[in-house]
Amino acid sequence: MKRTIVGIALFCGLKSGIAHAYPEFIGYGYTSCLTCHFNGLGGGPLNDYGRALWSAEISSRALYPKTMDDEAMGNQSGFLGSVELPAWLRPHVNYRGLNYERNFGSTSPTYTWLNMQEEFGVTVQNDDSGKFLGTVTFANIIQPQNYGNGSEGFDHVLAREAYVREEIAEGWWIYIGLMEKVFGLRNDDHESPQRKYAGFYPILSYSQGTQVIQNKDSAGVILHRVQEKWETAVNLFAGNPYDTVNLQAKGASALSEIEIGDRKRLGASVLTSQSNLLNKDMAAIHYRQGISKGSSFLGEYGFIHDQPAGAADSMGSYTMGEAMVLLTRGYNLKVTVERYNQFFNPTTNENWTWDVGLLSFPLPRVELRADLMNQRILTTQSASPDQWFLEGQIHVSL
Amino acid sequence: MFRCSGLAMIVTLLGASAWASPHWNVSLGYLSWQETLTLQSGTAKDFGSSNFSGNNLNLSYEGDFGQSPHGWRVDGGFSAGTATAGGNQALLVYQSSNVPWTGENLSVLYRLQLSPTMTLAAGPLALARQISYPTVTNSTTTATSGASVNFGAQGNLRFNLTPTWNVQFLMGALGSNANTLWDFSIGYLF
Repeated sequence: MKRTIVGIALFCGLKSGIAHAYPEFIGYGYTSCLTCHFNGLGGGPLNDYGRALWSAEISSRALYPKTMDDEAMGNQSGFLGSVELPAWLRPHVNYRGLNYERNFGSTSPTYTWLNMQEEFGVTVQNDDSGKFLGTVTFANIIQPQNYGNGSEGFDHVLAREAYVREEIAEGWWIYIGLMEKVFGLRNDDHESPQRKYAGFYPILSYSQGTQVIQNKDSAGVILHRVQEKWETAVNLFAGNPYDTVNLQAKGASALSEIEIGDRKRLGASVLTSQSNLLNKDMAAIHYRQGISKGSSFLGEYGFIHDQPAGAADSMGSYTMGEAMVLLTRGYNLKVTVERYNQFFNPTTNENWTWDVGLLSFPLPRVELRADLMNQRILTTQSASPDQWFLEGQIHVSL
Repeated sequence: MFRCSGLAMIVTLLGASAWASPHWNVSLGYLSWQETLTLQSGTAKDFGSSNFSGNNLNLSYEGDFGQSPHGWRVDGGFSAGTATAGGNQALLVYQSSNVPWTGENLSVLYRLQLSPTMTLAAGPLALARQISYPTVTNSTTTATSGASVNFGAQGNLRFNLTPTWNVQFLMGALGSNANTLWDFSIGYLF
């Protein structure tokens, strides 16, 4: 079907579109993102507890002497290690690089290195309880056409995320600023159909022959209620000021999650947004469960209804299932299966991705990934050979 | 305040150990694999792909090697679905879709119980399948793919979500003119 907007699914799209949340950590018993992140919906800079947790529980201690206990590792998790900064000041720096081999195993593989994330920022809080704080993250965002051709540089540094947060009453949080919209599980892979087609992927699109860029974060207000057994968030948003006016989507979204058993959470999300080029309505249900210590299962199923201006609308769906197994401290096996179809009927393309990978935290502040991905398109139109990708990824978070 | 207590985790694990093997598991899944499509018209030969997808019903029985996390499992089942063949060849024109197929599978697996709720298993796989590709009107092109009986290997990961219900992720590789097979299924232990 001809559409006026054609999303170009670049392999990695724009950099700095990564959520960095780990809903999988329900396997450790951490059910709310607020435990570790300043943003209680997940993603963005870690708070002191999250930093200490990464060092003292998540990452491997193989390279540390046995005489150093977890508490001592946690005490070195600050921005400057064990040098304590004033409680009101929490800087952060993040780098993520990805090397991927397309057509892995074929006679004509291609290799690309992408600097996916080059971010720095600071969080300022009134005290270490964080009842009131402000945070800003600047990111180097490269024009997508410059990916991998060596011409990228610090040519587009902007505030990707900037908001103030206040705990207005016990368990009630309000966020105002530029943030990721509230919807679904904040999967750490922005290439995932669960995030990509739901609008949480920085998109290079063509609109009437002109390239435009859409960022995934949006200016708005989030009201977040967090209780031990449930949480709910409501988000009103008005678009990203860095986007072209036609792409600035205004709307609302909401998410609720309830604990239905020990380390078992069931959730639902809705979102509606309107821009000059695209109206989008989505609904999803998700489930996550801690299976045993450090291991978890995630699942999400959602509908996406798109109404592009001047074109027929589409109603599609996606499915995501993920199993993460803690092999030994700091090292995890991750298996993910994802499906997406743009039109919710049995005759159109089903895009499937199967990913088997190693997610490791060999050191505090360092994450390494290796993934082997199989992509298959099931359609009644034709059968094309599978595509294979081999990815290696490094993430350093200070 | 959001973290489970260690006691709760121990209780969970002790409870889970009550449903260790041996036991039966019946599962219903969605599977897909790809075969190399061979097209022949006179002396002309061309190749393409054929994508199989469908549902499978599996029954497995598993046991332990003594008191250890190591064990075995035998998996067998029936499957049915449709295939889409061709469409991207360079030489011979052929495309057909919704071609029905039926299949039977058998695996003998080494099984590692990672925890009372997680099982990793791997082993050889045999897959028999029946399919007949239609011929195109006014064309001499005939289509075949893969092999009627194929052998390969598979690995799978099973998570017990409750004492009876589980999910399984499976990936495998097939040998004769076929490649990756995957399967996601929901199972019931009894």
